[in-house]
Formats: sequence, structure tokens, C-alpha cells
Amino acid sequence: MVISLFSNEAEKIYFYNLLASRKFKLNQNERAVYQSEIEEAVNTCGNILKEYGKRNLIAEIDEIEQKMEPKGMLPPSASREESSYGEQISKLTDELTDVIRNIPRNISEDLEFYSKKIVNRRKRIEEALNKEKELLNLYPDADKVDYYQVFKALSTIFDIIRCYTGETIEEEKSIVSEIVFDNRQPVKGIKKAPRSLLEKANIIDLADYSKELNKPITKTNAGLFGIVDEVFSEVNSSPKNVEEVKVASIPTVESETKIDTVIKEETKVEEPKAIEPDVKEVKIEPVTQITEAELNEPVALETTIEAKDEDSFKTNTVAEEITDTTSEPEDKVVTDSKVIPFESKDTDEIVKVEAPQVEEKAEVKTEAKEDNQEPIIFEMPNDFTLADLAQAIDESNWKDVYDAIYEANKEEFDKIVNEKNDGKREGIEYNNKLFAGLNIKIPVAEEQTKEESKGLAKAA
Amino acid sequence: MFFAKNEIIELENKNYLVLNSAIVDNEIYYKVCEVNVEENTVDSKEIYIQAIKEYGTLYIEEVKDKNIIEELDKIMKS
Repeated sequence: MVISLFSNEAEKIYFYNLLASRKFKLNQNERAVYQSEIEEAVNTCGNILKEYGKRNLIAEIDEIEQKMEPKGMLPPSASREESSYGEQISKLTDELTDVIRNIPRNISEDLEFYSKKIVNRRKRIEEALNKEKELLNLYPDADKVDYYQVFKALSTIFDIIRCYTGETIEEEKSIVSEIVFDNRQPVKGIKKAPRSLLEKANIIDLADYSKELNKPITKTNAGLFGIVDEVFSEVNSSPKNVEEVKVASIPTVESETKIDTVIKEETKVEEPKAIEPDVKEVKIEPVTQITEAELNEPVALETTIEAKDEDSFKTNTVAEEITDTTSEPEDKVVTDSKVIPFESKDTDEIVKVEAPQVEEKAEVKTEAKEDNQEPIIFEMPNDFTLADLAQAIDESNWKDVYDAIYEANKEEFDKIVNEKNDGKREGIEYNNKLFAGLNIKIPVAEEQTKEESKGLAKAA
Repeated sequence: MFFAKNEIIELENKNYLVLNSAIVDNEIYYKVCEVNVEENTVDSKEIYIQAIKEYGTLYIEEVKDKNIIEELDKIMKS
């Protein structure tokens, strides 16, 4: 079966013009290569002759030959100019022959080689020019083809050719995109966008950055006692029914252990200077050994503080039930049970706290108090934004505070945003209507407790 | 996936911030906006791009097909 490649004469002309233009371009490229080779050879000859104090005779001969008509094209009666060119060439040739006789043989052979090369390349250039002329005679548009038009006109022919050669359409697409629609730009690098930029673009993801905010809050317990993650994990693995141990502040040091039932335990503080900032020094018997029967019975809690120096420390004995914690004075220190590892085996254990010096004790008091802070509940007034609230708490770092507030109230906020703001979270911190009247939980960061309280009071 | 959300694609003379990405017909498209070199201003004009890796070099190419752009608009909005 014979398939006709061209459906009309125009396609045929376009196709042949395309082939002719390809050949024309190849010829042009060839000529350029020959020309550069000639220039290189002429320069080399010039350098050789310069070494022997002679001018570049080969270049001069080549120059004159270029001015003359191509060989074989000379009319029978050559003009005077042509004959003068011939005379000049013969003079230069004689001069060159003299030079060659007077230089070493290997050098003269080099000159001869380069001269022949020049003559050869000139011939090839002439041949290429003749081919180009022939092509232009047959296809006058071979040197000015509009490729876009040709590809457009020949798209069906290319399809046929591809079908024949088995090429896929995807290849065609890529070829077309490279030639016509290529707008590719190389990527130099990829990096994470800075937060400031994301804020400007209003695409900051609060969930991502709340993690950063949570970090300092979880770290803050690493204070006087040098609490580390290992201790936390150790304590977390202890019985869940032990919730907290409360130790009274100076001058009264009290200790309580909250269990499911009421338990009183004895905390003994012997010497004010004996304690060191090491968790291992605080000994509490593990509650795992306590039986349920024992737990059901209230046990008298005794806290004894023995001080050498009355000025620095006062001793006190406290026996009270944990349920009465609300009645404790403000100064009372409340330490998290996680702080203290358990080692004792009986419920009647004596917790020996070797008291530090007075100044250190004061630090314990502050930190311990902050550990157990509940989130502050704040009723949002009208015309008051979350940004205002966060700024009132910490003006310089209000974004982080806002993020923490958002995280603490995420459920309520998301609900309100979905109901009242079409689910758009962007800019809710500046909305003064959205959260009016809502009881907002303010997460208490240990170091910020006082500042927040102050800020809230101020804001309210 | 060559790029992730919130990443900056650095080109020769401009940068793009990746806003979102979507897959249409097994092709990954990225919604980006131009960012100045100092990375302090964001252009409001958003475009879609594709990433192409060729001979070890990663290129991006703007998507100009209206049908794909419409489809991407729908996906990104939802």
C-alpha cells in the first residue's frame, strides 16, 4: 500500500524548502569551519615567518587571491587589475621561495603544509558556495524559512512520519514545547521561607509554630533541682494515684502526698544547708508498696524540720489532710510529684528533705508554685481582640502568646470561626467581635505568670 | 514532590514562595507567588508552575493551559 506523504502541493513545497534550508545551513556551517581553519593556518605561518624577521607573505598572497575572481570564472580577457594581482602574487611567491631556502627544512615543511591547507580549504569553500547557489536556484526560500509556519503547515506530515517510525505523541508535544513554548527557568535553590514572610503572605500555619511556643513551657521545670527528662519519665512510671506533694514554704515547710484516699506523710527537714540541687537527695518511698487497705486509712502526716540556725530556718510539724489544701496559706509551696522520685516502701515513710540555705529555698518556692498553675480564665470584653489580649500579656512577644492562647482554646475558637467566620482563620486575632463574651483560657507559662496576671488585670 | 508548602524556590533573578500544591492527571502543580530577593515582600499575583527535572537540572515552567488552571483553581479553593 502506498501512502501519499503530501496531501497538497503547498505541503510539498514547504517540506522541500525545509530540507533545502537544512542543507543550506549545513553548507554555511561548513564554510565557517573552513574559514576559521584558514585563519588559524595563516596566523601560524605569520608566527613562523616573524621568527625569521619576515612579514606574513602567505597572508598577503591569500588576501590577493581572495580579491581575484574564482578560478575558472576568469573571462578570456582579464582586466589590468587582475593581471596586476597576478604580478603581485608572482612577486610574493618569489620572495617566499627565497625565505624558504634560507630557513631550516623542518620549518619550511611546516610552511608548505599550512600553505597547502589554506589552498585546500579555499577550494572547499568554493565548492560549498557553489552548492548553496544551486540550492538557491532550486529553492529560492531555502535561506529564509519561517520555521513556525513550516511546522504549522507540516504538522500532519510529521504525524504520518511519526506513525511510520513509531514515535509517540508525547515526544511530539515535548518537541513543540521546546521550540515554541519553552519558558523553563532553572532552579538555583530551595529553602524554607522565613516566618516574617509567611506572616506577610497571610499563610502562617499556627499549628506549626505552636510547637515552638510549647517548648519553653515544658522546659521550665529544669530549675534548682536540675530535673531532666529521665526523671520525668521515671516519675511518670510511678503509680498514678500519687498526684502531688506539697511542701510548705519558709518558715513553714509542709509536705503532702495526694493519693486517691487521704494520706498523711511525714516530711523531715533536718539541716538547712544539707540539701543540694540534686533530685537524688530527695527520698520518697515508692507508693507501689502501699496496699489498698493501708490507703483507705487516713494516716497522720508529720513534717519535721530541724534547723541548726533559728534565724535561717524554723522547724514546724504539720498534720493535716490533703483535702484541706485550699485552706493553705499563699506562701505554701506546691511541688509536682514528678519532681521527687520514690524509693520508700511504707506509707509511713519519712520524707527527708535536707533543707538548703534560705536563699535557695526561696527559689524552690517560686518555681514550685508556678508548676501547678491552672490556666487563667479570662472573659473577653466587647471590642477587644485576641491581639490586644496577647499584647497586654507580652507586648514584645505577643505573637507567641497569641499562638499559645490559640492552642489552649483551639476547639472553641475553631467552632466559632467555622460558625461565624466561614472557617477563615486568617486575621481572627484582629477581630473584635468574634470572641466577645467568650471565656478564654490563658495558658500560664511559668516565667510569665506574674506578668500575665498583671497584663490581664491591666487589660481588663 | 520537588517543593513543599512554605518553601522558597530560588531562580536566577527572582524567587517564588510555594503556597500550595495539587495533583491533576498524575502531574504535580504548585501554586506560587513571587517574592523579592530580600524576601520581605510578596507579590499578590499567584501563578501555577510545574517542576521538570532534566539531565540533573531542576526547572520550573509556568502553566499556561487555561483548562488546567481552571481545574487547579477549583481544587485549591476547595
